[in-house]
Amino acid sequence: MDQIVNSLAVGCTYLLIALGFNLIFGVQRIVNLAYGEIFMVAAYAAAWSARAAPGQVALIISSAIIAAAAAGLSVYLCAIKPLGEVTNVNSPRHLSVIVSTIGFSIVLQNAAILKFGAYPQRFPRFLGDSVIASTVWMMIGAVCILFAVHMALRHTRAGLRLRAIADNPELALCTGIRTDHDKLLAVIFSSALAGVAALLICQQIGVVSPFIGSLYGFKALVVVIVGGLGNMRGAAFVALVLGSAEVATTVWLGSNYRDGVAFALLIGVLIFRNRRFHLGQLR
Amino acid sequence: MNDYLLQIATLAAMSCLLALGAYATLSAGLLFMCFGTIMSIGGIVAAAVYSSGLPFLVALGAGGAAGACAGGLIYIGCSRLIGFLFAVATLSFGELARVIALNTERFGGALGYKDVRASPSICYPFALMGIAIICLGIFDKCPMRLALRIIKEDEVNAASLGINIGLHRLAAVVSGSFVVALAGGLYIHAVGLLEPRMFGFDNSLEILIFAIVGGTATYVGPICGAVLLTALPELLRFSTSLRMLFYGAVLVVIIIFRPEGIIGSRFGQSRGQTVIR
Amino acid sequence: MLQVDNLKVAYNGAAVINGVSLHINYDESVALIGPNGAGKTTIGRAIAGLVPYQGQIQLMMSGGTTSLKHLAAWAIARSGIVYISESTSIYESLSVADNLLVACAVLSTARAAKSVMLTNLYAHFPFLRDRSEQRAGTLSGGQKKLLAIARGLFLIQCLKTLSLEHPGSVGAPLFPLLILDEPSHGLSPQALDTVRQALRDLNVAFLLIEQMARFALNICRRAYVLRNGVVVMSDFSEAVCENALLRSYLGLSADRASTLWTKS
Repeated sequence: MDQIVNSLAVGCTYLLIALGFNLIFGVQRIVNLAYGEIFMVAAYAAAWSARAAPGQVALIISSAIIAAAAAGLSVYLCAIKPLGEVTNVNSPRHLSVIVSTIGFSIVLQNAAILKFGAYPQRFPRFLGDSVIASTVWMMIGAVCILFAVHMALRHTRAGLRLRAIADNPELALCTGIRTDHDKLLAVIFSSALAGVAALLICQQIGVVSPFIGSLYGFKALVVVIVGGLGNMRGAAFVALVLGSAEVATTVWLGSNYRDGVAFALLIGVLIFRNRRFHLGQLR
Repeated sequence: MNDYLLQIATLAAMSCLLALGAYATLSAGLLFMCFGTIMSIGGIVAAAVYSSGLPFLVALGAGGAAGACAGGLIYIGCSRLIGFLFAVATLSFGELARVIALNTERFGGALGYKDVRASPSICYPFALMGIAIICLGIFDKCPMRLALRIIKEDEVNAASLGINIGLHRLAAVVSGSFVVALAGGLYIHAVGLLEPRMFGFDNSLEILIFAIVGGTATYVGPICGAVLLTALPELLRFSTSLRMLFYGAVLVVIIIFRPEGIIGSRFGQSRGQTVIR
Repeated sequence: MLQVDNLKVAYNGAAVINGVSLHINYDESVALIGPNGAGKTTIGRAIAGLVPYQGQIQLMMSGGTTSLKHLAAWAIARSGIVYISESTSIYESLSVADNLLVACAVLSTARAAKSVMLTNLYAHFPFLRDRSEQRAGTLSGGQKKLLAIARGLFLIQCLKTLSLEHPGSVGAPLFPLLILDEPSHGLSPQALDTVRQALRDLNVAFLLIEQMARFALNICRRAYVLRNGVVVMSDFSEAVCENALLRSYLGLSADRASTLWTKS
C-alpha cells in the first residue's frame, strides 16, 4: 500500500515536469534539452527567497515563476530563435537546435555549480512541515495543474491558437494567427509550468542541487517521448508507469538502479515499438 | 615545465583521436551520443588484456575491436530510428551503461577501474594520431567518402543513387568506434583510472563538442577543435566546472554563428570531387 | 481595389511569374485560369504573403494605399485576404467546430454575432453541424476541402462583422477576399454547387484560381488567363469564352461556348 502511494507520488513529480516540456514541443516542434535547467534555476530562486523571506508563500511562488520565465526566455532567444523555424522534427536543423540547447544547459548547470557548489542544499519545506504533508501538497498541485492546463488548452482562445499552431503552423499563419507572439506565449507558459513544478517537487524532496535539472529533465524527456509527443494524457499515463517501475526497482534491486529504469524504458520503447510518432497534436 | 607541456600534448593527441572517431559518425549524418561508453569499453578491455601480460599493441587492438563491436551493435539496435530519436536512444544507452558501471564492481564500481599498468611509452598517442591522419587522408580520396557526404546532405537522393545507406553508416559507426576505443585504451593507461562517469553523457558530449566546434566538413576540423578545446582550458587553469561551462558556451556560439565549425567547408576540400546534386 | 503590378516571382533562379499585372475590385469575383504550371498558385500565394516577390501588390482604398509587400502573412489574413490552398488545409487534430472557431480565437467577436454567422454557414454546409465534435482528420477528402472553404468564409465574415462594430480593430484597411486555389480538385459537382451557392449568398468576393475553365468562367465576372507566367488575356468572362484562340487553350469546344455563360 505504501508503495502504491509512493509510485503515485513519484509519478506526479514526473508528470509535472513533462507538462511544460510537452507544451513547448507541441507548439514549437523542438526538443528543448535546457528545460531541466530552467527547472533548476527556478528551484534555486525559490530556495533563495524561501530562506530570505520564510513563510511568504506568495513571494516564493512568484519568484520561482519569474525566474523560470526569465530563464526560459533567455534559452529561447539565445539558443533557439536564432536558428530559425524548425518544420521537420528529423531535420538537421532540429539537431542543431538540440545541440544548441544542450550547450546552453551545460552553461547553466556549471554556472550553478560554480555559484552554489556541487553539493545538494536544503530546500525549506514551506508548505508543510513533514514529508507526508509536503507530498500531499505536491500531488494535489500536480493534479490541479494537469487540470488547469487541460482547461486552458481546451477552453481558452489562446489555448485554441496554440493547438492550431501545433497542428499546422503554416495554416495558422494564413488564418491570421500571430505565430511569433504565440510562440513566445508558449515559451513563457511552459517555463512558468517548470517553475511551479520546481516548487512543488523541491519542497517535497527537500533538497536542491545543480544536477536536478538534468536528472528530472531527462525523465521528462522519457515521459514525453514514450507518452507521445504533445500528448498530455499519454504523458500522465507514462509518468505513473515510470513512477511505479522506479519504486518497484528500488524495492527489488536497490536504489542504485533507480535512475537506470528511465533509460531502459526509453530504449525498450524506441527499439522494440517502432510506431510512427505523431506530430501536431497537443491534447 | 616541459613535462607539463608534454602532458597537455599527450592529452591533446588523445582528444584528437576521440574527435576523429566522432567525426566519422558525424560525417554520415548521425548524432551518435554514446562515445563515452565506447571509449570506456575500449579502455577497460585494453587494460584487462594488457594486465594479463600481452603486448601493449595487442591490448589496444583488443580494446579497439571491443569498442567497434559495441558501437556496431548499438547502431544496429537503433538503426530504425531517425534523427533526434536516434540521438536520444544512443544517449540513453550511454547513461544506462553508466548506471550499470557505477554499480558493478567488475567494471570498477563507484571508484573506477583501477587494475591498470602504466603505459609503456609516451609516444603511442602521437604515433596513433599520425597513423589516423594518414589513413584519413587516404580515405578522403576514396569513393566511400563521397558516398557519406551525399548521405549526410540528402538521404532520399542517396538512396535513389543506389547507395546502401545502412551499410555505409554502419561502417562509419564501426570505424569511428574503433578509433574512440583505441583512444580509450590510451587514456586509461595514461591516467591509470577510469571513472564510471566516463561512460556517460557528459563525456560523450565532450567528445562530440571537439568535432562539432572544430568543423565536420574535413578531418582537419576535429583535430583543430580537439587541440584548441583541450589545450586552452588546461593552459588557462580552468577548474572542471569552468571548463565545462566554457565548452557549453563555445558550443552555443559556434552552432549559432558558425554552424559548420571553425574549419568551415571551404578549407581543404579535395579538388576533382564533385558532389552530385 | 487590390492592385498587382508587374509581379515577378522566381524559385531558385527560375522565373515562375514574369511580370503579371491584375486588379480585383472590392466585392468582385475574378477568375485566374490557365494550364498546369502557368503559375496561378504562385500568384495566389504571393498575394497571401507566403512567397517573396518583386513588384508591387497594393490595396488602394479610399483611405489611402497600403502595400502588402512587407506585411506578414498573418497581417494580410487579418485584413481580409484569406488564402485557401489546394492541398487540404485544415487542422487535423482539432474538432470540426474548433476548426471554424479558430478564427474567433484570433479576433474578439461577440458571442451573438458568432452564432448568427455559424448558423448561416451551417445552412449551406449542414454536415458541419452534424459532425461538429468530430476530429477533423476523420472527415473524407471532399469534406475536408469543404471545411477548409467554410473556415475561410467564417473568418471573412468575422472580420466583416468586427470591422463594422469596431472600425479600426481589424487590420486596416479591410478588403475581404477569399482566394480559392483549385476548389474543383477533389470536390464533386454537387459540392462545387454548394460552394458556389454559399459564395453568392454570403456575398463574399473571391479570386478563383482554377484549371477547370468552364466552372470558373461560370461563376466569375471577369477572368485572367495565365500562361507561362504571363497574362495572355484579361476580360469579362463572356468575352473570354467567345475568343476562339483561347478556346483552344482552354479546351472549350465551339458549340458549347454559347451555353457556358448563364446569368445566375
